[in-house]
Amino acid sequence: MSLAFEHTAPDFIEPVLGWRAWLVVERNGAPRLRSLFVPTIWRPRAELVAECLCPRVLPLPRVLRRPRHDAPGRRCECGVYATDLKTTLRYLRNARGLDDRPLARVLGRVSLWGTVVECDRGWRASHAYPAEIVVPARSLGGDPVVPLEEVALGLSDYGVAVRLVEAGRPKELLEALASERAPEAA
Amino acid sequence: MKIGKPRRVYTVEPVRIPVPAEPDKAPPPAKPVPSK
Repeated sequence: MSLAFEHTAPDFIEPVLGWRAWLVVERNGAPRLRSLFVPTIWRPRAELVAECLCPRVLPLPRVLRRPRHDAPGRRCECGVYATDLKTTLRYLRNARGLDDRPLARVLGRVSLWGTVVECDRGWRASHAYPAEIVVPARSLGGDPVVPLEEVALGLSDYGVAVRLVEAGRPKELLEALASERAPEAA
Repeated sequence: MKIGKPRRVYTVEPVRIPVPAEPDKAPPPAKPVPSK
């Protein structure tokens, strides 16, 4: 008699917590998180489920495209990204909205779960949701379109801690955040 | 974003999905008390 189980035990039962950066853009009159490199809006109180956007983002000839697959593919570059604080700050500083004028640039911790590909300096996952949003109290460059306090208030729609950190430069943010204890895994 | 090469793949099934539920409806505003 063979026993075949479709479901295998998970490797972990707590989400992975990493850092990532977002642009804040206006949608229907409210500030919303947007991924830095793809025009994905993170909806409040809804998990973000990754899909492979590579065929759309990279206009490769058909023969060079990877076959359709669930995200994150181990050999692809798809999935919801998170990394360490230092790397996040580097990307945050240079983040620009391609199609939107961002209201602000923010960072935070993100919970990752589902299928997770662990990489040298971070993770790519199939499911994600912000665990905490940090709004630098001083603009990282250029004048903010709306007051940052207003941005922080609007981001409370996500139902997670949103806080203004008295810092503006990446080095100040790193010093302010690096010494803090990670929040309890959700 | 460059996060290096893949090391391993694992599955994570949280006991509780870390997505906040919709907030309960706010209670109706208190009726004003007429002053005497």
